[in-house]
Amino acid sequence: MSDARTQALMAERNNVSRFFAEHRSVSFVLLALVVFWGSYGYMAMPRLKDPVIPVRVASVITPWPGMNAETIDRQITRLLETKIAESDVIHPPEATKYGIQSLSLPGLSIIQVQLDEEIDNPEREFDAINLKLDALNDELPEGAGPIQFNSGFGDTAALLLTMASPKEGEVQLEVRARDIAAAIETSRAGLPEAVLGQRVAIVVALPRTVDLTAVRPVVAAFAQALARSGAGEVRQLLGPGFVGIDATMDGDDAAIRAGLTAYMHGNLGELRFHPDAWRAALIRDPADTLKALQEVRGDKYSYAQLGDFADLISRTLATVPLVSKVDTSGVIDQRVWLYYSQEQLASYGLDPYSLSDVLSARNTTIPGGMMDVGESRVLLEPTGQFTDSAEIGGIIATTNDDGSPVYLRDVLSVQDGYQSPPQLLNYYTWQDDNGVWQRSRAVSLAVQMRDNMQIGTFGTEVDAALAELSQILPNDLIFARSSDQPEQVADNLDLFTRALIEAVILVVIIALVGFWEWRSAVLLMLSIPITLAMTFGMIDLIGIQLQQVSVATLIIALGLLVDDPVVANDAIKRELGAGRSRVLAAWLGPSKLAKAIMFATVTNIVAYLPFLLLTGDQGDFLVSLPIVMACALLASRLVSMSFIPLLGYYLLRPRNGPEPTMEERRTRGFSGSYYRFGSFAIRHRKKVLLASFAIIGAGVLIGNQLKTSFFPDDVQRMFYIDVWMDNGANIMATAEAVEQVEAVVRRVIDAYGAQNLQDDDTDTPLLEAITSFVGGGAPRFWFSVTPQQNDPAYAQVLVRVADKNATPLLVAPLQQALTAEVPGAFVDVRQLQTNPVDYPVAIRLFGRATVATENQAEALRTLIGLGNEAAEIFRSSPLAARTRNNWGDEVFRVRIAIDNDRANLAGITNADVAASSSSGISGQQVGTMLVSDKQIPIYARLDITQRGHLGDLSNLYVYASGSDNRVPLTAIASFDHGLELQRIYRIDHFPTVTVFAFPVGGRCPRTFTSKSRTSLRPSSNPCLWVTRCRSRANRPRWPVALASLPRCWACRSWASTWRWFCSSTARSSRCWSSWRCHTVSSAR
Amino acid sequence: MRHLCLALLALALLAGCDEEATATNPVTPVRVEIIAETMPVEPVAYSASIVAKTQVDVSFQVDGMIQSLRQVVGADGLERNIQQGDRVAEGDVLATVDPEQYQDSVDSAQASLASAQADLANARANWERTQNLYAEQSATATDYDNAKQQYESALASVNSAAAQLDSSRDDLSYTDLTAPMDGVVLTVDVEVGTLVSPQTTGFVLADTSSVKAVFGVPDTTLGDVSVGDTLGVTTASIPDTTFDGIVTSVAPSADSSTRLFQVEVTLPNPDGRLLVGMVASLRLDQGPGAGGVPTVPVDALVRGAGDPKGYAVFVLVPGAQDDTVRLTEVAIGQVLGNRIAITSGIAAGDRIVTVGMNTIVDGQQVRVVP
Repeated sequence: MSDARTQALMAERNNVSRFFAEHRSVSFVLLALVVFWGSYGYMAMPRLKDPVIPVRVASVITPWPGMNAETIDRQITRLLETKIAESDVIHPPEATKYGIQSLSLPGLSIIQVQLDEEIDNPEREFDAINLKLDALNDELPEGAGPIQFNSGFGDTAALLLTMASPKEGEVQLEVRARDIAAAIETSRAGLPEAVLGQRVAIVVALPRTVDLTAVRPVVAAFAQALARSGAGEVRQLLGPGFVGIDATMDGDDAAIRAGLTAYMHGNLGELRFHPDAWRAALIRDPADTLKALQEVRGDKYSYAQLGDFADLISRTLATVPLVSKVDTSGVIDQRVWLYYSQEQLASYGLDPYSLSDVLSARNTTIPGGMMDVGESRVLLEPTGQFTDSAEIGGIIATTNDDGSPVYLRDVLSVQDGYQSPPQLLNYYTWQDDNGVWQRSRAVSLAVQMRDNMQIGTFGTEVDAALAELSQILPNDLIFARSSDQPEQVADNLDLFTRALIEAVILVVIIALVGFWEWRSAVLLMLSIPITLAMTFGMIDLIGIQLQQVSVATLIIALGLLVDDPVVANDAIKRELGAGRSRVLAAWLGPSKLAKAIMFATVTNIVAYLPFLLLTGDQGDFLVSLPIVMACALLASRLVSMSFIPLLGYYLLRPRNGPEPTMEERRTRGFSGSYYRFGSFAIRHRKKVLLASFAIIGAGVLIGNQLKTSFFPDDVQRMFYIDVWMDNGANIMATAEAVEQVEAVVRRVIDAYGAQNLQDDDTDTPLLEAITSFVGGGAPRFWFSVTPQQNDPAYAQVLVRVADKNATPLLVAPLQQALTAEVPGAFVDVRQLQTNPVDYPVAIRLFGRATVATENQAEALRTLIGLGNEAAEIFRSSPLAARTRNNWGDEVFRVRIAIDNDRANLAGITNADVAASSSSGISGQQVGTMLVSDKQIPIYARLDITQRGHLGDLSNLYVYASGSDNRVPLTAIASFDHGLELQRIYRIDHFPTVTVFAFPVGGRCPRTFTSKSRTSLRPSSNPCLWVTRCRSRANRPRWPVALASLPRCWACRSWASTWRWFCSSTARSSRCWSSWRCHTVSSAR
Repeated sequence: MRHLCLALLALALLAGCDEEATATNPVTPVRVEIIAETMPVEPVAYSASIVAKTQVDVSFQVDGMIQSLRQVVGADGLERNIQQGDRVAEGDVLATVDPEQYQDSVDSAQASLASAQADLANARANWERTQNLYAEQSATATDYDNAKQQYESALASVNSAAAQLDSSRDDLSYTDLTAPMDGVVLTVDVEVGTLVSPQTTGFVLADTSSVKAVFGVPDTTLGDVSVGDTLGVTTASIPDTTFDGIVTSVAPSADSSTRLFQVEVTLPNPDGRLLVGMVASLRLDQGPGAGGVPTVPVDALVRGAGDPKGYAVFVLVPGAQDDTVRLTEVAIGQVLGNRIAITSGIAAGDRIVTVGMNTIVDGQQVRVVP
């Protein structure tokens, strides 16, 4: 630095550093202000877990009960998609993003609409689309609709609260055991001794609030079946809270249980005697009753009670100011069932149609009028509404010839029950105080927070509300937080605070080591909080929230923050060493280097600015990164020019002893070595330049080998398991599979914990809890996990472990065990991801052929056939696991082929057939019972013994609506069996089959992608082309990445994208149209 | 310094050495079932109603007011009026109409008869006298004819009066309503004091020594039932009992509104357990030669490989070291319960996959789990 320049600087008056160094009291005030501003900003900033990404996906759901998937696809999905596509803000179709995506299931059409990324106000656009769809309601076919539009599809729940019923208490259990033992003894009285040894009592207990009339007919039917199969002396047991059978049977417990399950499956189509019932207990000796009951200990509260509790909690939480919405899932709706037998009904001259008239005649809510009495008005209210299922039995159905009444309970059986089959079941598995794992029914509540609020406050307010509720609700109800964002945010901020403290300590240590004096170290130590305070103040002003990205950015920035203060510190010391006064040195040093510091800062800021150019969800996710970084760097620049001189004045002193001269520096120590090296390099500059190119080249080569991923998997204490059953599975089969999955999970995690945590504290088990949702996905508890719609063949199991670092290590052994042990289901263990990718490797085949409607079915089948061929190629690679396509298998269905002539002659219309069959088999609503604030539907349905299995269809009678005719179904119809598609996916208007697979045990997905790509090229079958191959590599773990170099050599990935378009007009016998193809390389 | 750098680099590489993830694709688990021995074809159930073999409405033939009903000893030992459910024998008097007026008719008829007989006697005497006189030619022909005519007319009057008396006697006897056959009283439609007239139904009697189960079959099933077949009848009110009956009639024409043909099955009912009006059900076997066929659960069917409308199942091929599955085309028959009959493709004893079809493909190695 030349002297002239120094002189010029010294003469400068408009120097910020000079001002701060000279007017120190003002500077202290400003320092205090900045610190205060920063603290306020930190406290006031909204804290969330994830950055707010405006939701641009809405869902449109249209039911059409009873219709098959193909018809729904043609008649409803296409219609709605065309209407939605009229909007011009839909996202254009892209390799990894869709505009309109749809799924047609039997009875349901689900469409997801995604808006363009440029749209700032999605709500308004969604409203416009909603209006258009409302107008379509009238154009839907008969029986379809209404169209339900849900623009809140993307809102993530801040808290997923699971409320589970505890198991029956010990005292209650003993009371039951006593009653049951007494009943068994009474029933066995009088039997010869020899027989007693072989008597087995099968007892099913129920919560005491459940009416036993619902269960008795089923048990009676079972008793008859037992008697027919050879069991001796079958007697029925009945008592408070239990029903059962006592019979002489041979075979061990396992065989009897298997027989019981087979009977339920095969004859009654149910899996339990009643949704609230316990598992059946097998009791041979009445003295063992308590033990037997303890094994099958059931839940204390029934589904109806849990529903009431959930309702109360939901209403209470809705009063908390920060809560915006509470959704419950897992509650099974109550119903009143009227079970009739066809013969019985016919013998009274009734038919199912007349039942609703009979009920509505009695269940009147028409007001009786109002009368003016004197000066007031008196309301007249005719009674008659029934509020209890027993009252329904007392309704007069018809009268005899002599005028005596026939009550409804004589004609059919009235039972309190639930929706059958249920739509969604929720279970919770936990460890009780004795360390025993318990599994019970549960209800989950998804609580959402208002936008831009403090999640910490949200957490405390919800806690307070729940604490108040705990005084009203039974105190043994189990509450658990399946997903707790306040906790996750607290964890994140905890991490940040720790990182900050560590950073400060490290800086001090390095400064001590580097500068070898405490003063510089203290100066640097103080500079960090001041810079951070200024940063917080700035970003709060801009409107950034404190979430994982901004916190991560601050942690990265910590390292860069100290840059400028170090330089400033060094400059001050240099000036001090040059003999200037403290005040002068304090501001002169930094001013000399002002330009250098500024450009260094600017360079750093600009290096991060390109993140602002990212578009889409990734862009929204990361938008805070460059902004926070820029603010931090700017703050550090400002601080180094303003407060560092101030503090430097007080802290820094000139060095003791003379500074080493240049000569000394050139010869001794590290600077000496560096001088020699530098001279060498300059002398042999050409060689050194070549060497540097070689290093760059090597670096590029090595860099390409690294496994890449845009974001690593999020390491959390929670992970989830998707269970996909066969397409036609009913909810009970899925529930059984989930029980098996949970057992495997418990076993594997326990084994892992025993093996790996020996030295640690083994008192706390690794597995904390399991929450499962059967028949659909959990409500959106993680922003990147899209919840599945209600689907009886799907279940989601959320697993929570105590140590978040164990999660990545558990995934592989769990996946292995689950795939090997659970038959009939595709089980995928998934970690939570920041950047959501549904499947690591997927191939999509879409049929862009314009076909006549007659060929539609054939077209779909050809598409599936091609998908199967692609799946074969995947399977041929040993690195692919769980290959499948997302359409699944075809499922057995029965079509009732009505002979129209015969039906007409018999006076039966097609509508009659449909009504008789659907109302008989599934039930038909005939009325509503109003109980306090609930509307409980009343359904009429065939008795369970007349619709237990498929063959009962031939015994069905059809009732004519226009006359009294009653004709057997076989007289006018025949049964046609077939296999039918269950799922039809469309992406951007065309049916698309996605064939996907998971890489085995952490391998590089690109390995088998590239290998299989060659097989996927246009083969001899000109119709098979590959489109849109997508893969997502594993997260890079640094040491492993190094070692996997040789393995990954085969994974060549060309960073550039290539495409080729090939269109073929070849018309082979299987191709009746042209198919376009293009291949895109693995997207990152 | 150089050595140090090299050493550090080597250490870093070693640190990177990790055990090869020896993850392999686990073998897919499946559940199998052994095809049971053949199951019989399930018959179709019909619902029938029980009617009496003979049922008659016993009506009055005279009018009048009912004076008394049959007295029956009731359950409490006291006598009571006859009511529904009581058994009667042929000839039992069920009800009595007030006979007074009929008695008076009889008396009056008797009196008329007596009077006519007196006239007859007189006319006869006159006739004989006139005959004698005529023979002696003391009476004119006119007298002869007159006397003859009077005699004949008196004779006719007597006959008429006798007939009148008979009729009155009949009417008197009709005041007692008797049971025409053995049976059980189904309904009692009159009370003491009811005014009845001819055609008024007083009682409905049914002979329930045997009963008939009546049901309707569509024309497609007519071939499966013919007169003389034996069918088993069950009723929900008497569980665990099957009553055997014989088909006694098949209607020659169908009911015009339902197009069903009425079939009657006669069942003996000696102990009277089957009551008229009960709802019964019976099963009709479908067609001759409906033997057994192997069956599989309905959800074990998958789409066949070749035919887009064909069906197949996965058959387990046990091997020495590993089991594999083979996709086997089958032809399906009728649904029985929750299973479906297979008419060709597999045989009893084969093991087919019942759980896990969605996770396997033809030729894949599998592992059987319980």
